Amino acid sequence: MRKQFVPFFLIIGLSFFGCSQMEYQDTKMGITVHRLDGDLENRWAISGVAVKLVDSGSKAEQAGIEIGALLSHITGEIPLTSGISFNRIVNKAMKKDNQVTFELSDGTRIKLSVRRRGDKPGLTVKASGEITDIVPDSPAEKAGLFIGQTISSVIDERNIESVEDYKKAVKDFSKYQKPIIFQTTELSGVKVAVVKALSQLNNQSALDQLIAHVEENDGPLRQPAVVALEQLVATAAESQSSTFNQKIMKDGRISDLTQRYMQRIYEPNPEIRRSCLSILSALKTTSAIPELITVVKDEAEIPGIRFKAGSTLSQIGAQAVEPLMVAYTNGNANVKDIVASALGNINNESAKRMLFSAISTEQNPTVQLTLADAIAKFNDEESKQKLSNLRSVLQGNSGLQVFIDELLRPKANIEAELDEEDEFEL
Amino acid sequence: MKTTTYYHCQSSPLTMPTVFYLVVLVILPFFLMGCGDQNENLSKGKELIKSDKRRKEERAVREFYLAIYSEPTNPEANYLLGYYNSPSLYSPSRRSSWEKWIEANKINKSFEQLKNQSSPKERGAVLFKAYQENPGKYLEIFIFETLRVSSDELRDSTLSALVQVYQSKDKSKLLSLIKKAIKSKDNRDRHDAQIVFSTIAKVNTTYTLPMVEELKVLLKHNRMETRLNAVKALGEIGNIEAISELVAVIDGRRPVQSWAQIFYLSSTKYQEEGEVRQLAVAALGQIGVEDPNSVAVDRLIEIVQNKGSALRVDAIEALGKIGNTKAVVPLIEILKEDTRRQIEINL
Repeated sequence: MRKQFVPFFLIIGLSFFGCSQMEYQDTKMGITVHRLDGDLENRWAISGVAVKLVDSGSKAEQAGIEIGALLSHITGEIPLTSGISFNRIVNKAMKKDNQVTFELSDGTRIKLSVRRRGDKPGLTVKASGEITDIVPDSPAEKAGLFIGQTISSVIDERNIESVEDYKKAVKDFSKYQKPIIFQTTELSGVKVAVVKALSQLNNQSALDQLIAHVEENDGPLRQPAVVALEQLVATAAESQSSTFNQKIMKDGRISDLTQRYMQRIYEPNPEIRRSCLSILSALKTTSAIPELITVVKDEAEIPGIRFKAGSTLSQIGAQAVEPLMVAYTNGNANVKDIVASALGNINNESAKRMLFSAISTEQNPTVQLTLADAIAKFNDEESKQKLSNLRSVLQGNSGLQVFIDELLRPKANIEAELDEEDEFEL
Repeated sequence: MKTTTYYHCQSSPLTMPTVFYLVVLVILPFFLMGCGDQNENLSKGKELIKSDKRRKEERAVREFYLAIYSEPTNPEANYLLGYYNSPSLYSPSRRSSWEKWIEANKINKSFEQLKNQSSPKERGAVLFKAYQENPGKYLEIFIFETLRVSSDELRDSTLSALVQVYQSKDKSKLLSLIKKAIKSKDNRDRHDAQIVFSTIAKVNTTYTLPMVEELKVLLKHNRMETRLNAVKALGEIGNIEAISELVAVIDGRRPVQSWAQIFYLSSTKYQEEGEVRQLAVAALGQIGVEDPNSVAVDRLIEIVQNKGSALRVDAIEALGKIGNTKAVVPLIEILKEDTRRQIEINL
């Protein structure tokens, strides 16, 4: 008869294999925790349990645990006076992560780790916690422990991967009437995703949040917030039909912020400085011209950012011509190079005259090439004539001569050449 | 004995002359079919395609045109014209060449008219003509071969032909083939079937619900990849009728064989695959984009508020794309959440 039940018990046993608890009500702490999504660990390299409920007046509530917190580690303190053997406590603490922390009688904490699971720490301890022997070259010696020191307790930090882990850790640590420390964690990327999403919602509160994060002196969300603001302003600049987009373009806070944080002296992060310049480029803020010229002239700034400042000035347009011309006159070769390029992108008569005059006198070969390129961008007869005249007076086979030839060469109609009639029988 | 022998000779069905006549009767139809004159232009066009001559597609297309002028019901000529008649053959630089050909062949169409025939709709109509002449052959070719070609224009033309097939009397045949394709092991077949489902569903509102219903059933298919393509198709369709099924995919477990269910019980290990759940969230987002006031937004907000969900980031991204301001407050709440910290509890 008994044999007939074997398959039944086998199936029941197998059916429970692999099952894990969904949630657990911890009456001692006054919280209910539930498991995280199965694929959370794979996707976000995160494990733990989430707090589902916090009982009113419970120890957890008094300590500040909130609903939704993700508990990833629990740390407990096991005194050596607990009656459990030292080796057993240490082996248990090192079981998962091969490391353990000792608290000495003077309050200092020493972390000890072994290379492989099962390796001995290399110390002998009396029931009182006094170290009586240290194996030479052992992990204990390397950690800085020595004979005569007294270990008062073992600190056991456990990684929580499931509701069962939580249950076991709380059960193990709550025996000793010592504080238990819960470590919370967060999903990396959640807040960054929120910042990006806020920039897509066309909403004043969302915009205020982004600005607030940029205004923070420090914080992991500053850069994502600036990038989100950059996206928001770019969209608003493209389509100013909606009231919200018009509001963005006129929001003085954005231009004030970006004018400040595009400067190296206020903002150490070059990516934030670059994004600020992009924002000003879209806003075409004329009040930013003096600061932009400062960035162009800043020899300690990254060349790419200086060129970006030049490009922002060219976006601002006619009002930037005069300050750019002054910067050209007073600047060194690097400044002239950036300014010439910026002036070429402004379709302005004064800019053209200035470039014509500069190319006739400029001696630096790199700046000469940039000036020629800037003049060619006007793409009118006068500019072509100017380059052609310059080309005719140049001696020898200079780089500038070749470059002007290239600029003046009419674009061959390659398409037409390729599409020449190909005769074939019908 | 003689009589018996004679009787045997008379009654045997396998005498030499009988065998000969039978063989002739069996072979003759095939022989006659093979000997039939294949359209000369069609043969020429096919040769051109196989050749490495310059502008072979353009020259072949002209041959296929001529083949259809002489034999409008030729399925192969129609199929090949639909296949190769790309708009790139009608660039302005080729106009004079086409006009010369039109004049030489007394074609009753202008260059512009021929150019218009290279649009996906017109090419689709030509492909559909091929299907009408030989339904058994070309429906399978459309789904399992033509859709695989990497040309967007040809893909659109084929989809246009398939929509016409759906609108014709052969709807069930088409459905059965695309269901076969979405259940295939080959990811190209599944992907193409997914596009056919969503394209047909979006052509006409009366086609939407039948397609959504078919896809809902496919969400329970044993093959994970089939469920994945069904979820994607539901997202592309963007119809609110799929919301509850997509939420069930996000919350529920993956389908398992009934015999195996006893082993799975409440185990977290057998939750629906992360990739399918992730795509289900994206699909809810697409439905929300189509209808920003639908309950898809509420479902996404629920995911965002569940700190234990692996899909929070996906749901946040979806809410950003939808742009419903209902999401502003829940999203700002996330920014206020605690970062990593230690909480000490004294027992």
